[in-house]
Amino acid sequence: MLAELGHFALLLMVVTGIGQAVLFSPLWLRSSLRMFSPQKAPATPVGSPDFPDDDRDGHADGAFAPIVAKPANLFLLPIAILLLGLLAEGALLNAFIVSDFTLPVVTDVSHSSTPLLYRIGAAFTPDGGAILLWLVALSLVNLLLAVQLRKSASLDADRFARNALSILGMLIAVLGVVTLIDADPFLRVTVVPLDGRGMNPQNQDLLKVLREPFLYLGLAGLAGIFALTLAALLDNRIDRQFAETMRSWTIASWVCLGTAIAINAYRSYSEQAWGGWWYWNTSENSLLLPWLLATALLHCRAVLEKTETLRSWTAFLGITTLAVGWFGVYLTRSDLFAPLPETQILPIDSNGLLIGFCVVFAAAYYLFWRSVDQMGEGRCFEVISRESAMFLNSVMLALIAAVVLIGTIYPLVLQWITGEPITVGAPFYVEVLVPIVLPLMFLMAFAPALRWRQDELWMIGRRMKLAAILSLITVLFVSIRFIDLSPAPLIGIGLAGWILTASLSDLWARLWRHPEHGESKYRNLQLLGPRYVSMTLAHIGLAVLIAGGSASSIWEEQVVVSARAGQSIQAGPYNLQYEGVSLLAGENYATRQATFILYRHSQPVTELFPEIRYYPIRGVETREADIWHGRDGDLHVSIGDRDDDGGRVVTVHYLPMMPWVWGGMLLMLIGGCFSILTRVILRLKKPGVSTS
Amino acid sequence: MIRRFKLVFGALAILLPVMASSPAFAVNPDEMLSNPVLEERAREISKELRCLVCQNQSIDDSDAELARDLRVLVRERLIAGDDNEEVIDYIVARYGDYVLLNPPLKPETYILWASPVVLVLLAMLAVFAFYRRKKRDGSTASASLSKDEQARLDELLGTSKDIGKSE
Repeated sequence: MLAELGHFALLLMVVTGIGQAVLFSPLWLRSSLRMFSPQKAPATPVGSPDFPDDDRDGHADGAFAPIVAKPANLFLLPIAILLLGLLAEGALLNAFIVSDFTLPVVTDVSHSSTPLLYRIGAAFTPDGGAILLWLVALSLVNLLLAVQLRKSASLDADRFARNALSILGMLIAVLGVVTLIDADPFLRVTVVPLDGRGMNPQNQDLLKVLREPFLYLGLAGLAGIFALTLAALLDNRIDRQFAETMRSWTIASWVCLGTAIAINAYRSYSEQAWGGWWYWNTSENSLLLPWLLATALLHCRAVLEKTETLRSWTAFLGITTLAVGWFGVYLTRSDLFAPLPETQILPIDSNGLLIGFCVVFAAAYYLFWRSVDQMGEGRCFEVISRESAMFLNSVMLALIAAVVLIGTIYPLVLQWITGEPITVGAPFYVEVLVPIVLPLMFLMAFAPALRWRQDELWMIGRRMKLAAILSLITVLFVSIRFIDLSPAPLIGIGLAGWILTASLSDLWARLWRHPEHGESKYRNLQLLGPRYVSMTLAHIGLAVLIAGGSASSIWEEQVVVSARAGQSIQAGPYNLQYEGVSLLAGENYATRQATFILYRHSQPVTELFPEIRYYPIRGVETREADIWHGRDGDLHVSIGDRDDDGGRVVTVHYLPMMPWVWGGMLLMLIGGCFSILTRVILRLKKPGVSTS
Repeated sequence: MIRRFKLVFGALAILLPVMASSPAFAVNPDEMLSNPVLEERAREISKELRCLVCQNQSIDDSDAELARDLRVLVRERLIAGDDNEEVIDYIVARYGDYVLLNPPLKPETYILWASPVVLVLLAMLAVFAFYRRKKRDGSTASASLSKDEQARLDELLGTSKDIGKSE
């Protein structure tokens, strides 16, 4: 019964979404405009961007007053949509929690023996569940956007808010229709199976469960940006105020997508036996693409806010980021990329998602194309300036995204045209991306130290002197110490040192030479503002990540042995003593758990328990490595099968500086969160004050 | 003596997976060659080859059955005295270009390999055009200013503009 209620809620959500799209749309405003002031010209078609600027203020007072008089209007529909979305999601979650096998989605990915947490997590894995989660996140964004735009004292701000909400309503309606047509999660079957087919054991992990909400929140945030961009395009006001409105959304989606990526990377690191964390496969690429463009947008937006330049580029990125995110969802949801036909488990039809994508973005790009000519650029900036650095940075990020996109879809297109399968794997991406990434990293260090509008080369040289010297010293030290090092990781380490020292020296200079340099360093830190601090944190995080990645790839040690109980294995500074394997019962799996005692310089540090789990429902084995994050590196232990001579195959990886990779990712995310949190706190403290 | 041992070991390495029924593990010790140089080369080659049933994982990284067979095959060819290229050619001849993680340069992949170069060139052109236009529009961008304001602005900016031009 509850499922039918959820189904109905989903249906109503589509209706309300359409209602919001229509009621808030320019069409409605125009027609009501005609009603209230008959002397005006007949309505222009929906989506037409030509609202003349001067015209806006002219008729606003008289014509719009009757409609905008009730500000509660703005909240009513978003609240209704959110409640309906929560109801639908609740109904679906309930079906998974009580294991209602009359729903085929539950049967496909759940089982009565699956633990509660993973039954909830399983609700997000099928197509319908995933898009429903996206819908709920979208309706949350919808409401938040309404709250953010509520303080629209002026009338064109009000129209802007209505346009944005109308577009979001349309997106909700489209995605709702896609869910209902493509992968309706609330359909029932009459012949009820006795039990489900069980959750994919690879997904049975707390981190994997957490990844989905972050991913879809991030995508919903991108949808918010998309709606704001289109609304601004409609009014032809891609300006400072627009950039300010977009700020929290950009950072929030950037953080959410980044969290999803970090979780994904850590998950494959701890799941697999070989300590790798990025494979350039479709699902990873489809996460990376929107994140890269969100990063580009983050930088352009700052330029737009500061100088009102790069209007069309920012608007383009605002649309494309969602396009790429949506396309990524389509790629991972469709079965186009299953490696070979026999490994496909459930062939899924997700054409609706593709058709929705085409319709939405055809309209969006048409609108962009129509209004791009009317966009004047603001004040100009010189080639050597901070704007310029940030602009080039966003161009390079977009280039990287384009290359990754081509690499991802090329095999598909080729197979479609010629029927010949090819593989585009890690070596391709590394070869092609390194020449783009290296200059990007090199430039990245300059940006914070550059001045806005215009700067001089020799002055930059003076500012970057210390960083250049220190990073050169690092490279020299490393290359002398490890004489037979290949140049690639050395460049990585050098660049990491370059970014790190440049960020720190800029911070140091600002702490001491701030114009309002006062009593204490703490005071100066406050004067720097949360933006600068979060930017520095994120840049340092990236430097740390690069350093860790390069170092762990060079000095990685791998030991594969066939071990017997009591045997000790040497890896780096660590010594592992193998104690044997015991058979244990997990909640819905049986596990062979090995026990290792970890010694560092013959001092016992900890015990490690890598496992091989057997999930009887799907008849699948998974391997869970156990990892020790030490001061000088990660020790990654996993076990394999019994050898023929009675030993146990044990793989030990010692990855020096690997914690830097995780720490770096964390720092970047903390940087983003810091920026949002300070803004929220300042808002709460002093309503109406914007941080900068 | 050593050569014979190697041969025996290699033969064992080929036979073992056939006998073993349980799923294999990424690079088992029983697959590894006793000669560290050969083993190192085998690892190098393995990183270039795709596990056919996985998502973009190399056979070195995969614990699928098929990946194991390929790893063993690579080692077998190495023991037979092939150099790295010959081993890869041997495998490609049997499994097609699909096994190569790095797509080979051939008519079908010209577009793939050319696209990054073309994109970079296009981006450079666009950026160049952007700066050119900016420079040209520099004076017209402030058209919204009145004439007096413009004159005052020019007067104020006069020095800095000259510096910009001299660069």
